[in-house]
Parts: sequence; structure tokens; C-alpha cells
Amino acid sequence: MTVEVLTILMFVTLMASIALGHPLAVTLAAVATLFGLIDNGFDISGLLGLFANNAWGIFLNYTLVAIPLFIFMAQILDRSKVSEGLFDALYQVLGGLRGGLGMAVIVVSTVFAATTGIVGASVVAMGLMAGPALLRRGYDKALSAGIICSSGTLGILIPPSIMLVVYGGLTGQKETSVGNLFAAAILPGLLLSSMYLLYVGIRCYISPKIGPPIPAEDRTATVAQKISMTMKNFVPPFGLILTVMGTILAGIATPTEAAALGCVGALFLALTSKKLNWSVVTESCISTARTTAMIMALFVGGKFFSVVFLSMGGGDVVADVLLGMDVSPYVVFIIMMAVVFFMGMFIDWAAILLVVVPIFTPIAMDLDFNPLWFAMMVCINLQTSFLTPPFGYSLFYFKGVAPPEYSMGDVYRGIIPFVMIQLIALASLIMFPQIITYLPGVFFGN
Amino acid sequence: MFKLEDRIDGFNEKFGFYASYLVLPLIGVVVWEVIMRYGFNAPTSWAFELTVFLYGLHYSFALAFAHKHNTHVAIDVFESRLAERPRTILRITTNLVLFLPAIGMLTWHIGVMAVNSWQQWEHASSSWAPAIYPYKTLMAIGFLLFFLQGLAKLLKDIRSLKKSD
Amino acid sequence: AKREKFGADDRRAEIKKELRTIKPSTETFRWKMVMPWSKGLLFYDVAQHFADSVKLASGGRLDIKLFSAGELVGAMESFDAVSKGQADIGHDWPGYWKGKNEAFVAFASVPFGLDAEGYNIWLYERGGLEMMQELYGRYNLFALPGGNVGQELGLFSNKKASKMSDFKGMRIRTPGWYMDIMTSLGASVSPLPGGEVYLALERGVIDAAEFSTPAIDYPMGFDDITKYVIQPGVHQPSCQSAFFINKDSYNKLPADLKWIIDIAAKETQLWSNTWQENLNAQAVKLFKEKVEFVRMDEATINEFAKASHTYIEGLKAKYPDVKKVMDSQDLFKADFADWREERGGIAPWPYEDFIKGKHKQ
Ligand code: NA
Ligand code: NA
Repeated sequence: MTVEVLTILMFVTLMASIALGHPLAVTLAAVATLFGLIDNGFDISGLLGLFANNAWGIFLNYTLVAIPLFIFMAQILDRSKVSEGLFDALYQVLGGLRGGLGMAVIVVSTVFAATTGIVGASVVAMGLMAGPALLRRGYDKALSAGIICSSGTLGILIPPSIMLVVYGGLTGQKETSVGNLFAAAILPGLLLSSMYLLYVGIRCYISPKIGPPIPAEDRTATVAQKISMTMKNFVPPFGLILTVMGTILAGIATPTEAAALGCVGALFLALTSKKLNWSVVTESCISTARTTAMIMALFVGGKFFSVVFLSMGGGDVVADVLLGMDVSPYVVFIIMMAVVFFMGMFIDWAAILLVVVPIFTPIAMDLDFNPLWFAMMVCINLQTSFLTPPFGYSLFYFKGVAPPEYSMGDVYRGIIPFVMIQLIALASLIMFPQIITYLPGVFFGN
Repeated sequence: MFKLEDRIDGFNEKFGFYASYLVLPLIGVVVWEVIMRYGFNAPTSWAFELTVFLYGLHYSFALAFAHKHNTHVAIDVFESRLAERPRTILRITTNLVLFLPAIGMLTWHIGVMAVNSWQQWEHASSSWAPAIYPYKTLMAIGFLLFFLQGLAKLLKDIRSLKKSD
Repeated sequence: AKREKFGADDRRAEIKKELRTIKPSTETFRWKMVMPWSKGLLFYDVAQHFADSVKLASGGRLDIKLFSAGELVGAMESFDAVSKGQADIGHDWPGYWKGKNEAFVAFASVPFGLDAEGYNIWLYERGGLEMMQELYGRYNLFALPGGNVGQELGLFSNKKASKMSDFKGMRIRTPGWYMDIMTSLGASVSPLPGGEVYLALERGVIDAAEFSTPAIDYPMGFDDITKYVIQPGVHQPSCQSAFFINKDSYNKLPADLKWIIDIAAKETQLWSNTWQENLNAQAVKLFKEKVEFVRMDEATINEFAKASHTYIEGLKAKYPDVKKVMDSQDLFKADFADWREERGGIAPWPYEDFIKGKHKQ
């Protein structure tokens, strides 16, 4: 069998097996085992020895230590109800505007995103808290579902972010170190957040029906109260942001160390808000262990897949096709982005990252794209995958906790404009790459 | 009645529960290193590697735990639309075709790697130079438990299929 | 009395028969090569040069494809991967395998040890190669010298240090044997991985760090964030690499391809050194525009040498393999001393400098 045929077969087999509903990590490993054996003439101990060797390499990967730490931090933070206080404050402050409550959700989610590295916690918290509130205030179901789902995904883009940790751990290169990736993601994350705000503001200004202001009698707080509420509730998350991102950007701590400091900070916040007890710690440990195992299993399975794929020459096949076309590098880039976007409709972000990045990165380097910029474009694309149907995890998290009035149809309809915003943001980052590269230059001088 | 799958379930539940606390010493070691470096200008020679070992054990030990609680992400949208019986048959099939051979062979070879490490009396190439063989062995145990959890699921599915006959 | 011819090419005697019987083979081979290098490091180019030479000389019959760190196996997993036949060949700095056997470090770089010329003579003429092949051979590997990139640069530092007391309490990054030696002298040493050195140095987590030769260090930009380079690089008078080949893969090769590998490895050893030392000279000029080069005083260098000697004697007492290899290197150094002395004093400085009295290397 030629490498070309094998390459195509391997991807087709992967896609078909994924649909069987078995855990993705195992499916990746199994497809890798099958094709690895076909490629090496059924030398079982050769291939599986290579896999064992790779599993050990992942066991020793210092960068990835940040993953359980950031997950634990999010678990503790989630249980200390930091976002509730924030939401209550912004309810009073922004509630009077058309679409104000929706904007409050976006602001809270953005701040929350800067303290947590994952998506689930933010969408679940907002779905439980803001979902009923928005509904009661007469917000359009589609719009409110879209707001909660999309702003919740910022958690995995705005640093800290386990997606960026995985990316850094995967490439192991200086240009795409976790520190650089974190610095690079700040402005694009804020850009997206502002675009959501702008969209909600304009949309509700034009048709107040879908996002009405809250009547004055429900916003009883005085200006002084509003200020003190806001201050009081913003201090804890900002303290945490300073602890984590501050120490990384000032170069005091590595991302892994900052994550551990963040855990201590989150425990401290939970303690001061009287939410800390042994069962909270136990619950957090348990869900941290399970979520970490899920991500690391994907890391292992995805690694096997890309090892076999690259080893049998599949990377060269893809590179020959993409680089063989006599077109502008940006066409090749857009094809790669389209592949990531398409896969994101069906597959989990981590699996895509682990399968695609090792294949696409050398091509992007061949075309002289800035590795940091390329990484960030892939990551924003993958953040979008949380929103894109049929399998958008953010949508599922939301549906899981939202009031029963929300149908899946509301959620799917609501998300469309926000996916468009994601695409517009990606386009503007092609035109203004400085949005990505500016901060890493300021903090790390590259 | 002795049921292997229940024994495996029971063991993995307990083991996973206690192993999940490993994240606490992990935080402790990392924070300790930061304190020693800034507070006492005395970075340790061991914290770096101990950190990595704790993280590696933490997730290796949780693989089975996560599998028991169906935390490993799967695209189950087609599967979940099937009726109970064909669904069970599909699960048995994927378990037999995907999980058991892939994870079984992998576990075996991680075991082989651990044995090699013992034979070489392998130590890390650092100044602290900790022994490597215990960690390779513990990683193999984590994967073995993962494999057993898959086996337990298979046995359960087969039993439920028989019951529905 | 009439004197015999002084010396002979030993290989000639060995292979006379083979020269009569050797035939060009027709079978083709595809090998996978793993390494601890990312694509940006010049070590990768050394490995690529060897693969190119082999492919050229064999007319494409032996095609070696490179996999940078992490593509096939993680950086530090390449030794085991080749040993177990998961890849056919690897490229390394042997010191990385210190955890398997301390003696590997002796084939890589020794503090106050051999320079590039020294390694060449010791490896090819004084039995070093045989010892190297014996050591790698225990792991089912056939090894050959795989390039020497010359002397490493000393410490990039934000503290000016030339006296012994300056080093007390200094926070330094250096791995391997020198880490233990510096620790024994009162420095506070951490073995940060390569990728984290820059940030740690920039933000003052550490005061000083060494990484590699001037040319290899240059892209890392250490000169942007430090003020001094503390010279000389006594920790690594040269940096020797190796190719290590899975024995089963090697034994499958016909004789002509085995010879091509042998000769291409020697060609790589020569080329890497000339190519690198020329680049090192250029890189040092560029560094000098930005950082001040500081020399440790003689007494301090003596103390470092003394500590290194004590440390290595300790290792010898503990590890018979280290003793065998280091005794051989020490004997070579001693045997070579007369000639080193006698030929000294005519280093190729520019005429103007030489006339002014600059004679020593
Ligand atoms: Na985040
Ligand atoms: Na999606």
C-alpha cells in the first residue's frame, strides 16, 4: 500500500470509529495501533514499545503539570461562588441598559475566564444563575443561550487556559512556550469579549424586545452601593488574576508554578468566603483527577496517532499536497483553518490539537508564518469548536443546567451570530497580527 | 456471588478516590520550591522531578477511575439513539475491537518497559538522580487498572445482555 | 640501525581481504533517526548532514529520515527507542544518558577534559571508540562519533564574577557533572530545562546560565538579558556527539553500506567541527557587541580544576566504568603532554599580534 492510500485510510478509519461512541482517547490509540502495525509489518513489540516510550515521555512532561493544577483551581473557585457575587453586582450596574443584563453575563464570564482554565465551570455557573434570570427578564431565548454559551468559552482562550498549556506542552518550542501563548491570548480574548458586548448592545438597542432593560424598581442600589458592591466582588478575582497571570508575565514563576500559587489563592478565597471544608476539597480532588485523566488519556491517544501518522510519512503526504499547490500561503493557511473548523464541529478540541498540530505546524513553518500567531489562530478556532453544532460542548453544558424552557433549537439558533463573530475575529487577526504578537513582545521581548 | 466486575469496580473506586488526593502534595511541592527559591535563595535539587512524578502518578492512577465514571469523552450521539439492546451489543463490540486489544497490548508493553528499567537499575540523569523503575512500575499499574476497568464494563454488558434474553 | 616505517594505517591490515571481495549492493533501506534536538538547534543540522552524506554516498540506497524531538519519541526517550528497535538510529550528546551509566558523560564532555582535537585523537587512535562501542553495545547499540561543535561558552551572567568568592551563593543553571562541582563550591545550582533558561535568567530567577557553544547560543538571545560572559567554558572544553544505531538494523546492512556509515560519520565529525568553530568565531564577535567578556583569574580556574579533579576521582572510585574511561583519557593527556608543550607557543594569531608577543593558545 502506498503512503498516500494509507494516509487517507487512516483518517477515514478514525472518523468511522469515532462515530461508534467509544472513548476518543482509546479510539485514537486503537486506530494508531492498527495502522502502526500495517506500516511496520506487524512488529508488535516494536510499535507498542514505541507507544510505551511515548507514554513515559508524557509522564515526564513538566509543562503539562499545569493541567491538573489549573483544573483544581477552577474546581475550588467554582465552589467558592466567586462569580455569583460578581453577577449580582453587575446586575445592578448594567441592568438598566438595553441588553445590559446580557452584557453583565459577558463581563462576568470574561473576568471568570481570566481566573479559570476550562470552559465547563463558567458555562454551568452562568447557565444556572443567569439562565433563569435572563428568561425571567424577558430576554430572547436564543440570544440569551448564545450569550452564555459563547462568553463561557472564553475560559479556554483567555489565560490561564489548559488548551494553551496543552499546545505549549505539545510543541515544546521556545516561540510557543506557555508563557508566550498566555501573553498572546490576552488581547484576542478581550477582542472577542468586546465584540460580543458590542453585538449584544447594538442588537438590543435596535430591538429592546429581545433584551429589555431591568425596571428601575428592581435596581434599588444607590450609586455608592453599586460602587462598593462592584469593588468588593471584583477584588477576589482580580487578586487571583494578579497571582497567576502577574507572576507569569513578570517572570516570577513558570506557568506551572503560577498554577500552584493560583490553587493556594483559590483555597484562600474559598476560606475567606466560608465555603472551604473537607468535602469541598474532596469533591474538587475527585473531579480534578477525572478531568485530568480524561485530558491526559487524549494526550496519550492523540500522541500515538500522530506518531504513527508522521512515522509512516503521512505528514509528508499532507505537506506535499498543501505546499504543492501553486497558491498564496494564505490560501494554504485558510485550508488548514477550514480543516480545524470542520473537525471542531465533530471532535473534542484536545483530540484535534493533538492530531492536527504536529501535522500542520511544519507546514506553517515552511510558509514562514509566525509560530505564535499560527498557534493562536488554531486556538481561537478550537475555542469556536465549543460552539459549533452538532457537537459543541459548551452547548451541551448549557443545555444540561439551563431551565427546561430552552430547547436545543433555541441554543443552536442563538449560537449562529456568535460563531460569525468568531470568524470575523479570526479574519481581523489575519489583517492585524499585532493583536497577537504585541503583548508577548512587551512581556518577553521577542 | 463472586463477580469479577464488581470486585474491579470496587477496587478502582477506592483506589481512584484516594489517588485523587495526590493533587494536594503536588501543589505543596511546587509552592515549596517557589518559597525556597524566593524566600531562601535555595532552589531544591529535587522539587522539579518530584513535581513531575506526582503529576504523572496522579493522572495514571485516575485513568480507570475516569473510565468507571464515563468521564472519558466520547462522541456518543449515534450510540445514544440506539435502543438498549443494540446499544449494548455495540458497546461490547467496540470494547472487544478497540479497547481490549489496544489498551491490553499497551499495558503489557508498559510493563515490559518497567521490567527493563529494573534490569538496568535505571536512575534519572539529574543531580538528584532518583530511581526511575518505581515510577515506570506504578505507571504500568495505572494502565493495568484502566484495562481491568474496561474488562469489568465488558463483563457487565455481557451479563445485562444475558439478563434481557 | 635501520629504522622501520613509523606507524601504519591499522585499518589497511584489517580490510585487505574485504577490499578484494566487496561489491556494491542493490537492496534499499529506509531508516528512522531520532534525537533530543528540535529543528532550530544546530545539532539537528549535524544529524541532517550525516543523513545527507549517507544518502549521497549510497546513491539513495540508505535513506535516513530525521524525526526531531517529540515527533517520534520525546527528547530523552530516543536512547531507549533505538535500543529497542523502535527507531534505527539516534543522534545525541552522550551525557544525556548519565542515568543509565555515569560513564556516558566521559564521551560527551568532561570539565577540564578533552578539546575537539583531543577527542578525535583519543577516540580514533587511543581506544576511545572501542570503549564507546563497548558501553553503547551493552544496550544493543552500535555507536560512532557524531560531530564535535567545539568549546562551549562560559556563563552568561548578570553578576560579574572572576574570583572564587564571587561564585559563592550565585544562582546558576548548569546540568551534568559540573552542576555537582559548582554545588560543592558553594553555588546554588538548578538544572532548569533548556526551554526555561531564558525566562529564568531574564527575570532574575537565576544569576547565570550556560547552554552551549557561541553559535548554538546565539539564537537564544542570552546577550539581550545579561551583562557578562564569564570565560572560559571550563565545564565543556568541547562538546562531542554520537550516532547510535540499533544493532539489528545495523547487522542487516550489506558491507558497502556499513562502510558508507562509518565514513560518513567521520566526515560529519570533521565537517561539524570546522563549520561550528567558524560560526563560533562569528557569534563571539556579535556577542562582544552586547556583553562584556570577563575572565576568571588563574587562581579561580585552578580551584575549579581542583574541585573537578576531586569530583571525578570520587566518581572513579564509585563507578568502575567511569574509572576505565577516565583513566584512558588521563593517560592520553599525560602521553600527549610533551608534544603539547613542545609545539606550544605558535598559535595562529595574526602576524601583528604575534610580533607583539601573543604566542600562547
Ligand atoms: Na482562562
Ligand atoms: Na463543535
